[in-house]
Amino acid sequence: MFRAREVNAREQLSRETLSWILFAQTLCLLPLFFYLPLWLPVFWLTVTLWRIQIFRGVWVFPNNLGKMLLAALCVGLLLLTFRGRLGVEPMVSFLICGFVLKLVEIYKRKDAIVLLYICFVALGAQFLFSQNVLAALYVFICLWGVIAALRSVHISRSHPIGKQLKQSAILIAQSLPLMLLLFIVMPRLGQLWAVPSQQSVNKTGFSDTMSPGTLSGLIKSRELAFRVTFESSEGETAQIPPPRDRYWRGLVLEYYNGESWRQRWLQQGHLAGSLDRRSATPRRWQITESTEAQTYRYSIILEPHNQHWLFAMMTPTWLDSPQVLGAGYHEDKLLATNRPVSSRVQYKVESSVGFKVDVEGLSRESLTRNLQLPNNVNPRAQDLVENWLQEGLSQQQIIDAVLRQFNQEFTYTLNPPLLGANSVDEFLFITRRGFCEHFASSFVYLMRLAKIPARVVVGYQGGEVSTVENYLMVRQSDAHAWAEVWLPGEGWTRIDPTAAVAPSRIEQGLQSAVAENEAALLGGGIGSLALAMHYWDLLGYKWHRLVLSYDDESQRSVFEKMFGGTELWRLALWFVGLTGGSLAIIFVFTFLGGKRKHKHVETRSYQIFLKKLARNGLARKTGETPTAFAERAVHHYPQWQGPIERITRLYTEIAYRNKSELQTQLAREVRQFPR
Amino acid sequence: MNFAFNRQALFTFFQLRFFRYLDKKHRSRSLHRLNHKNLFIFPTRKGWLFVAVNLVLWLLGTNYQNNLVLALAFFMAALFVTCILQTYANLSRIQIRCSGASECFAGSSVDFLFSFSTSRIAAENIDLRFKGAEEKYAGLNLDGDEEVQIKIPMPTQRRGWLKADRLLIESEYPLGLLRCWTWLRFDTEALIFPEPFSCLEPKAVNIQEEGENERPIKGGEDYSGLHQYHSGDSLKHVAWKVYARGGGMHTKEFSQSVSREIWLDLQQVQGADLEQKISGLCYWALEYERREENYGLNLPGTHIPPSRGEGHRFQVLSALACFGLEK
Repeated sequence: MFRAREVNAREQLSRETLSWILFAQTLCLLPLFFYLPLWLPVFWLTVTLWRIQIFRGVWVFPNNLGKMLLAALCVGLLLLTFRGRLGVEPMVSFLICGFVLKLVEIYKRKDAIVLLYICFVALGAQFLFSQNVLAALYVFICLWGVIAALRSVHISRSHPIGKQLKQSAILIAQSLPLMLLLFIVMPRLGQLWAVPSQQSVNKTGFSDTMSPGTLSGLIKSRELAFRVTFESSEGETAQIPPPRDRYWRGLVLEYYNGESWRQRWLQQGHLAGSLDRRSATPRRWQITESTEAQTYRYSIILEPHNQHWLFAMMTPTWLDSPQVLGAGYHEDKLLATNRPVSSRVQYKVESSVGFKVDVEGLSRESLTRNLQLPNNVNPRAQDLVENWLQEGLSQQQIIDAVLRQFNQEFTYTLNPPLLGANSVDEFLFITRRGFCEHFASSFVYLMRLAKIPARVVVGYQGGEVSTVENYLMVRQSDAHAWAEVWLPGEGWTRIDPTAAVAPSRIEQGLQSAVAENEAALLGGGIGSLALAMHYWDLLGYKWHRLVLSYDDESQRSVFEKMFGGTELWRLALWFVGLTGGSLAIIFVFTFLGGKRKHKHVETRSYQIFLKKLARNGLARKTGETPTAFAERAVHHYPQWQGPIERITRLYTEIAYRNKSELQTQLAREVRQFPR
Repeated sequence: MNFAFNRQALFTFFQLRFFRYLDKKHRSRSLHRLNHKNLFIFPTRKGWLFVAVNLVLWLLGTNYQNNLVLALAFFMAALFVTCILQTYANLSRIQIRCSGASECFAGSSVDFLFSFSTSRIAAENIDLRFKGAEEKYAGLNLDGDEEVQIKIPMPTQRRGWLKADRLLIESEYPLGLLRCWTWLRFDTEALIFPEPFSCLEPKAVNIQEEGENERPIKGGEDYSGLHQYHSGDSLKHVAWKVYARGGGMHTKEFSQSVSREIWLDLQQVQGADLEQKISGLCYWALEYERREENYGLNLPGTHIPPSRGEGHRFQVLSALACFGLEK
C-alpha cells in the first residue's frame, strides 16, 4: 500500500534529475565555447559549481539583488567584448549567458524545463558555426542527453542510467522517420528577413593581395577549398576537363607597387555596384563565341573563405546561385558576390573553354590599369625588354622569349630565396628560383614593360579527382597564380609561366612538380591512409550534396522521382493516400487487434495439444473439463496414457494453482506429444 | 449587460458540458479499461512552449538557410508527435478496479480503494485525484506483472452513502509535452459516518425493566458481592465456582450495571438540530466503545440492543449514518 506523497517534494528537483540537466547542458555548451569569448566558459564553470554547492547545501541561491548583479555583469562583459555589434556571436553569447544564469534559479521542475528547452536552441546555435558530419553526430548525441534529462524530470521513480538512455533512444528512434519525411517534404522558404551574419569564420585561402610568399604559405595546407561536380549533358557521362584546362579563376590583380599585387576594387561598395546580377548570363561582357569551344556545366561547393570572390573556369556564361546572396558577374570576367561567403555554399556555373573575351579592344581605363608599372625599379628588366623591342620582336615573340628563358634557366621550388627591393631584377637575373607567384609576377611585369596589357590572376589550378566518386577536390595546396595578356584579335589570353618552368605542376599537380625532398612539405600520404581520407572526404561531400544543400530544386526532383511529378493535385493525392493509408493501418491494428483475446502461455500450449489430438480424430467437446477429456482420450488412445495424463496434470497445476514454473515442462511435453 | 467574463465561470460551464457529454458516452462501472474511447490528450502549457521553441528554431533555420537547424526543428516536431503516441500508450491498456472504501467520518477524506494493473510492460508517473479533491495520489508507477493497490482520498461533507466522484487519471509521461487524461465514474459507494461531536453525555441510562433480565448480556460489569440464592434469580448469575467448592448456591451481585443499560437515544441527546444530535450520538458511541462499555441504539425505526465490539460498532455507526436519509 502506498499513500499519497507530498506534492511539494515532487516539485523539487531530485539529485538524479539535476545531474541529468547539468550533463545535458554541458554537452550542449562545450562546442560553442570554441566560437565565443573566452570568459564564457569561466562564467559557466563558476555558475555550475555554485549550483552544485547549492545542491549540497553548502551555498545558497542568490537573492534578487544577486541575480541582478550577475545579469548586469553578463551584459557588461558582452558589451565590452562585442562593442554593441550585432551578429550571430553576440546573439548566441547572450543566449548562453541567460542559459547559464538560469541554472542558479532552478529548484523546481518547471524551471528545469525552460532550461532544457534552451538546450535545443543552443544545439541549433551549434549548427550556425559548424555543419559537418561530426558536428551533426555530436548534436545527435546531445539530443539524446537532453531528451534523457527531460524524461528524468517527468518520471516519478528513479531509473538506472542504462534504462534512461534506452528509453530516450526509443523516443528518438521513433521520431526519426517522421523527421526524415518532414526534412524531405517540408517546403523551403527563402530568407524571411535579413539576419546578422557571422563574423569569425576561419579565413582560409588567399587574400586580395599577392606578394612573394603568399601562395607558398598556402600550399602546405591540405584543406579543401571547394569541390566541383561536373554535370553530364544529355546522354553522355560527365566530362571532367583535362588538368591543363582546370584553371579556377578567383580574382584579378592589376595594381603593382613593386612589392605586391593588388586588385583594383579595394572597397566593397565599388564591387557591389559593379556586379551584373540581373540575369543568369553575363550581359555586359564582350564574348566572342566559337564553335570549337568545350562547354562544361558544373556545380561548386565552396568552403567558406569570407571573401567576395567565387571560382569558375574561363569563360563563365551562365550562373545559378540561389544560395549565394548577391552573386553576379564582374567586369574582369569573374564571379563575385557582394557579401562575403561565410558558410559553405553551392552554385552552378556553365563555362565555355575557348570563347574569346574583349576581342574588340580594351577601354582606356582598362588599358591604363593593365600597363601600370611602379617607377624607378628593376632597371635590368627594363633594359632587357627595351633590347627586345629594339630588335623588333613581335608581341608573340616576346612572350615566347620569356617563356623559353623560364623553361631553360629557371627552377620551380617551394622554398624560394628572399628578394630585395628590385625583386623582379633579382629573380630574373640572380636567384632564378621561384614559385608560381614569382613567375606570374615577373612575367606580367615584363609584358607591361613591352606595352602588352597584362594582369595577374589568382585562383586554383588542377584539383584531384576523387578515386571513389566522380568529383574534383580542389585544395588550398592547389592555389596558383598565372598571367593573362591581351592580344589583338585574341582578347584576353591565359599564359601560365609556371607551365613553362614545370609542366608537370600543371599536368600532374604540385606533388610531382617539386623535388622529392620538398614533397614531404605538402603532406598527404599515399596508400591506405590516402584512401581512407578519400572516403572521409566522400562522406563530407555526400553530406553536403544530400543534406546541407537540399533545397527547393532537390525537393522537386525527389518529388518527381517519388510521385512522378510536382503538380499540386498529384502531391495532394499522395498526401491523402499516405495519410489515409496509415490511418487505416492504425485502425485495423487498434480495433481488430484489440479484439484478440489475450491467451496465457499454458492455454496456448494446451491448445496445441488439443489440435494434435483433433488431427488424430478426437476433439474436445464444448464444456468438457480437461480432466474429463483426458479420461476419454486415454480410453481412446491407451498407448498415450502417460503423456496425456502428464499434460493434463501440468496444465491444471499451472492454470488453477498458479504454478507457472511448470510452464517449460508443459511446453516440452506438448512438443514431444505424438501427432 | 455584463460582458466581463468570469474565467472560472466559463471554465465551469464548459466542464459541465463536457461531463454531460461523458455521461452520455460512458456508464459508471466498477472496472474500467483505458483505451482510445475514454482517453483524451492535449498539449500542456509546457508543450506549447516546446512548439514555440520549435518555431523559433525553424525561423532560425529558414533565415540562415541552414538545413541542419531545420532538421533539428523537424526533429522536435517529430518528437512531439512521438510523444502523442507515447503519452497515450502509457495510459492505455490500464485496468482499474474499485474495490471499496475505507471507514470515514464526515468532514475528513474517505479513501477509495483501487487496484491498478497494466497489460503493457510498464506505466509511469500517473497522477490520480477525485474531482474537487485537492489532495491527490501523485506519481503512480505500474509494472506489467503486478497489481497495485492504492487509496485515493476524496473529501466528504455529510454522513450517508457517498458515491465515488469522477476519478481523474492523468499523466504527462514521457516528456511533459502532452497531458493524457480521463474522467472515470465508478459505481462504488462509501458509507460516511456522522462527524463525532462532543456533547453532554445523553441521559441514556435506562433502568432495566422487569422481565428483561433474562436477556443475555455479553461481557461483565463491576462485581460487587454475593448474596444467598433465591428462587427466581437468574441462573446466569449463580456463582458456580462457589457452588463447586461446596459453598452453596449464591448469586453474584453487580453494583450498577446489572440493573442498568446504556441506550443511545435520539430523544435524550442534546443538540440544536437532527444532525448535531446524530453527531453527538456518534461521539458517545465511539466513547463507550473506547471505554469498553456496552451500548445500544434507539432511533425511531431502528433498535439495536446493547453490545460492543467491531461488528456492533459498525452496525450502530451505519444506522446513525443512514438515519433519516433516503437510500
